[in-house]
Amino acid sequence: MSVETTLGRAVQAPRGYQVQIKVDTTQVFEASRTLDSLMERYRGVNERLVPLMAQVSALAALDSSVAGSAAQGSLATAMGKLFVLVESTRLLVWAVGQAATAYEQAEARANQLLAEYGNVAVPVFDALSAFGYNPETLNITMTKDGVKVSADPKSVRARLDVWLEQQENQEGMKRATGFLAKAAEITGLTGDLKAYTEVQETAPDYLDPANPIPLPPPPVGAPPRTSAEASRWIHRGHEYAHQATDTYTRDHLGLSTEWDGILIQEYTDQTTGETIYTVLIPGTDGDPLDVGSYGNGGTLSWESNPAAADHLNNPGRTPADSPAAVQLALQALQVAGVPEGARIGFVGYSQGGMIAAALAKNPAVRSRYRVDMLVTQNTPVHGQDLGGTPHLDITHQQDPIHRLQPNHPGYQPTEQVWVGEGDGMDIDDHSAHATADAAWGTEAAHEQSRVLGDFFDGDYVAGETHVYAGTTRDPYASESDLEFHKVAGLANGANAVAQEANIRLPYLHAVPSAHINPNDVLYTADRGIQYVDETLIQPADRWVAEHLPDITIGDFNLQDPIIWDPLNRGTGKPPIPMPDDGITYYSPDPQLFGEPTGASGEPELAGAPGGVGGNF
Amino acid sequence: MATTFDILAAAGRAGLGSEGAASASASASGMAQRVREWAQSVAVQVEAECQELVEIAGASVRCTEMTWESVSGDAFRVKVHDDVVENVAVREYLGDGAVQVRASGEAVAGALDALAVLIGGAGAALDTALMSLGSIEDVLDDVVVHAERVGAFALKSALTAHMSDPLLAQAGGTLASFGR
Repeated sequence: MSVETTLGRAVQAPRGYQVQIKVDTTQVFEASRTLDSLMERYRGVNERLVPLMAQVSALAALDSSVAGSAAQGSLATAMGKLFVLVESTRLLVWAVGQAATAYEQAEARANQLLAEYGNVAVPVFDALSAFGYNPETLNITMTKDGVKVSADPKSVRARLDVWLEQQENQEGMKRATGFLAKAAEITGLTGDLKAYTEVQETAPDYLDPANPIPLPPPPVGAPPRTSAEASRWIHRGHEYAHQATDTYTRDHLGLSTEWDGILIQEYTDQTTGETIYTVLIPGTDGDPLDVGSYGNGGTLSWESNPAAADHLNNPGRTPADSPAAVQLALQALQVAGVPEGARIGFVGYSQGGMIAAALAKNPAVRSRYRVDMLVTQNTPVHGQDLGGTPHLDITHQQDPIHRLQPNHPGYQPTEQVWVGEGDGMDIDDHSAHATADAAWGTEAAHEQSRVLGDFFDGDYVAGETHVYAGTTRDPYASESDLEFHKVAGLANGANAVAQEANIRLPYLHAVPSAHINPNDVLYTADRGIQYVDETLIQPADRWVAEHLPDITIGDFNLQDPIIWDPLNRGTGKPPIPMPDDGITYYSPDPQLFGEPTGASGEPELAGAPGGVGGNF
Repeated sequence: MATTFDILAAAGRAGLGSEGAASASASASGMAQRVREWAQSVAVQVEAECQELVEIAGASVRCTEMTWESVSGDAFRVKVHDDVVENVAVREYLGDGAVQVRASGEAVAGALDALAVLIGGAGAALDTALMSLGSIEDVLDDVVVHAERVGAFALKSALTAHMSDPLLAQAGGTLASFGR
């Protein structure tokens, strides 16, 4: 039997999709037929042993030794056991056939339930558990307009795509993004650009092949022409900007604050003398598990991601209300002396892609420069309306991050290049390195890019490289200053969020962050955790331990599982589907379904589904 | 003119006793060989059924290799596993039976071979006894006395007894009933 699906949680059919529950009983029926033939073979052995047994008995009659009678005894025992085996296999054939039939009945029942629910969003899991069916044996397919989409939970990617297509989910994502951005702002983890600097002393020529960063060599001197070259170009720029910035601010200047850099690259046409610029914004810097780095001042920190996503959803903001990375890019363009009217292209990887897209559609930027190109990689900007800027997007097939932002209906990048292989998701494939490697191994990524070709339409070679670094903190803040700020900000933020949600925290009170002693906050947090443990977790544990022995699904006891014996014909039916009084099913609309029609304890395979409180 | 003793002695030299015994002895030996072959044939057929059971067990195990994750699927696999264990037990019984069939056949054949030897020996002894009568010069009435004296009658009885051993008749009948 083919089992592709493991459903532990509710799965529901989004509007416009149809869920078809299909149980592939091919293998089970095949097993039944195979066992039937094996039973016949067992019987054949026994039948052929009968004349042999007669001969052995005749021989034993001539034999005055014990050998004859011993042979007789062995064969008689074997024949007796064989007879049992024949009957045992016969029952097994029956039981397996019954199980397969039961699967088919359950399939019909589940599909009937789903059909009767109509457009009401009903979790498939609920439909199945209505009669105690074990959903782990089911193969569930989801179709839209007759095309299989897949509802296999293993195909998280497909399900996520389906989920993201729903308007309400898109709105939910936007609300969540906005909330997270607000929370990050309240807690002081993000903020305005407080300081910036040009990373001069440690920044060699971006395209200098002798630079110490161990990256694949780019086409030296020439701009990228294909997606594969662009992906290496982005990888190198991402690594270079981060490393140059860190080296300069930490090692050279000795600062405790976190800085993130952006990279401006000049390209000059050798024929016309025109200089154009690319602005590369790297991806998120830092380790998400490095809690100590939160709020240290990076413009491309983990906590600034929601702000970047939220900014994309609200393009009308002024530069002053924009994320620090946007502010840094605007400042850098001025400091680098990029003249008004110059052609520029924004390039970004991951979070940097969101910043690049925000810059590309920023009215202030577009009024000052000719924004002629946007290149994004592994960025959640798919479907964002970018105001007509030629847009090349390079995305790894297995990257989960680019799916974190809902699509804008009807929008597609000018060029969309998918690299890599596989139908799953792997966070490792989000990295600039993995994507560059995947792009190099993807045939389509080696085709000439129209977006790149139009932007670099001329005899361009690389010129000067500038790296500008920025921070959202006082650049000379000490580590203890940063720690105090983080803890106080978190406490104040927690109070603000609690007030917003009308929750009164037992130990925290809204006071200005400047008046909060971080040690008090930590002490309070400890007491808060203890409070949750004592009032919620421990009682829940006790309740589960107390009730588990009483819970059964079909013949299956949760605490002490009992395996059904297919030879026990006394039960008359295999356990699937098995009625169970302990499962209560609540329909979403009592008016629609009425009272249950099936008698308690019997599976109702035809007729209306159960109503509110009905037991199946 | 030849005497009666001369005639009996000539009969002894001509193998009057062993001639009849030889036929019976050869028949017993041949029967022993047929019993061996028969037992061997039965054992081989029993072993062939063992091989069939091996193949059935293999097919049963392959049957459980499908993906069937459920309580019923688990019960199915447990039951097939139990049946395969029972299948192995049956094979052990049958294998032991085949060994015992060969041993039994050998035992019966051995008994028949021994009988053949006894018959042959008894016939030869009777010839020897008859030949010894040639040295006796006496009237015809003394023939019986002399024959008793040399043990000819006892030897004749022994030969007759061996040749009429029930095993010969039973084995012959059994072999005939199974077309052997």
